[in-house]
Amino acid sequence: MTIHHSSAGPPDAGPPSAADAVRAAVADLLACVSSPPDVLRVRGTEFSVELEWIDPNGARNVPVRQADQEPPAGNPGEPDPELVAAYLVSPSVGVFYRGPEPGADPFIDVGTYVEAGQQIGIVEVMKLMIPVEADRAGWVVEVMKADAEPVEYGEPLVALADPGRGMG
Amino acid sequence: MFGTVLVANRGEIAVRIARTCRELGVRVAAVFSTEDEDAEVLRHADAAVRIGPAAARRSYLHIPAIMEAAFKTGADAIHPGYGMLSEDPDLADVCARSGITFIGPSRDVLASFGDKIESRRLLSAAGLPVLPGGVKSAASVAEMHRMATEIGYPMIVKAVAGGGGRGMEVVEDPADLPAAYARVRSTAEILFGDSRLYVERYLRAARHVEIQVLCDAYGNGVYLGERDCSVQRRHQKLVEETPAPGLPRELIATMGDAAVTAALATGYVGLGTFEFLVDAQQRFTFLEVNPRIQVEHPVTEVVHGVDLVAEQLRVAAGEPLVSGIGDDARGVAIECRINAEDPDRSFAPTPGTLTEFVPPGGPFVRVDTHCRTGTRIPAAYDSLLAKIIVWARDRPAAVARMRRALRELRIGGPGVHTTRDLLVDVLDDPEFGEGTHNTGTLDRFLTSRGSRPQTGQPRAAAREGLESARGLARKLVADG
Repeated sequence: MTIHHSSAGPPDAGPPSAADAVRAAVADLLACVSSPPDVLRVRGTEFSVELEWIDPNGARNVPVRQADQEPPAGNPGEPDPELVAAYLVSPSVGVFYRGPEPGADPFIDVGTYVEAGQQIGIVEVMKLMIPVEADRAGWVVEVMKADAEPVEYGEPLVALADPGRGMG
Repeated sequence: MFGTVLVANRGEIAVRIARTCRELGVRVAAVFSTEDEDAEVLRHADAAVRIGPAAARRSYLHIPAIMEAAFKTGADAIHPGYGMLSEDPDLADVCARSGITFIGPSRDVLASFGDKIESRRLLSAAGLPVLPGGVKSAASVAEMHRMATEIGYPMIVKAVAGGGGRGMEVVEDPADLPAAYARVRSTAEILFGDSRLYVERYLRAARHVEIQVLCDAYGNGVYLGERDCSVQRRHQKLVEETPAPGLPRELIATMGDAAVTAALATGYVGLGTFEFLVDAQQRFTFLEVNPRIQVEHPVTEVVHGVDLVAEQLRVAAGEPLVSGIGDDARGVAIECRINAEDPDRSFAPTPGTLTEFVPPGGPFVRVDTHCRTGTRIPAAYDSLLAKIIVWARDRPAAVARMRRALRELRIGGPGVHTTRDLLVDVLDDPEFGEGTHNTGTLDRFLTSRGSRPQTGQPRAAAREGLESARGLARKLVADG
């Protein structure tokens, strides 16, 4: 897990001990939460600490799956929550493209096995094409957005199942 | 009139803009960051787009994100509010190229007024008196020393790309200049990405009086009275009122006409505020232009019977000014800003949750806010919670009404401090009651009150920020 230091504040927020104290406070905080966040952001000067757990249902904790639990009833079109281990989300507001250019084959489809770092799509922001990459390995269970569909920051694009779960 | 307006802002001004859009039958598109998932403006919006994480530079200040949200919602205009991108020539430029109307002046006008030296030069040429100084930026401390000696002390060091009371420091004595130069330079680089500085003579005990200007796209311009914003802490306004107490109407008329003439000379279209300082001899000098709607706009609305956001939309949509607008002015209006800051700890911001928020009401009381009971105050943005505005027939009645309204407000939460109690004291102060206060009043008032001296030192602010962060971190853990 990487701690990102925002450059929005001065690089040295006072004497070295202040920065060390921030790190210590953040480490204390992380020791206390029930599950490690997916992203931690620490800003300088005004000092904001942001922890993010990526979960499209808005739940604050990573759900614990139990083998003997009934799978929750959902719409027929949604992926089986038992299978889905993670969602790949949009890095920005913009327009989502499934392939490298119009008319080309999509990067991935349902059933594709992706490696960590593999490109799964593009989000266009004001003519800038941002590649969207998988942050982990897994099987594509569902693609939630259509080609050329507008998306929001953090909106789920692709649902992945654990590599260990075969698609058979 | 526009079909859909994208509100490129947050907090109370986003709600303000949305309300007028609703009254005009204009569809509202709102934007929000991950920190504002429960923002009040979403209750007033027809469409909403999550545009980024908490950091303003990756959300509200990120032009590509704003534009994509506009495209997604089919907005034909963008209202930038105040702060954020409201004075950014790049946003105006991108809007123009994208066929979306930017509700504000043109890219070129914003670029001119964003450079304070250019702004001074332009408006001085258009006939406005300016303070000595500000002819060019100082390339070194030595050059600044020479300039300061010429214009005299006390003087003020300002960022060329600055404004809004930030990135400026008064220097009383030449010995203090090198340290002030270094501080303002580094602040300017961080806040504005431009470390150029200039100097200007500083008027110690002046009145801050600003003129509200409105120009359409056909060369018509009016001024809608003035606002006195002399109650300031380190150049940040806390109390504003109209009319300016004790100033002759002829003086205001002279300033108003000068401001409108200057605005039209620069090709200004839209709402804008021309700020002046008025000295003890009632001489006025130009300070800066704010080419946008201002926080304190409600006092003008209330006294002149005008919806300034509606006028912005109309002008931007190509309508000419209605004749007679601004001719009626009745009574006195006062506004107080309730900020989430602790006046007893150098106004350190106090993020947290408002477990209690009950605004005042009753005759001629208006509250502009995005807060309600349960609202979270994020650490990532400015600390303005609410503006309380009162109107009355005369100033003593308005002061009495504001004193009642401030006391009626119920606001608080764990770890949250506000400026309310300080404002009660200011309103009770005889100098304010008589209208004889000036820009030095509040700082003197705070010193005599015995609050911790404002050092302005980065380390003190960092320590207090760190304590806030620790408190916030503990709170995050407690809430799970």
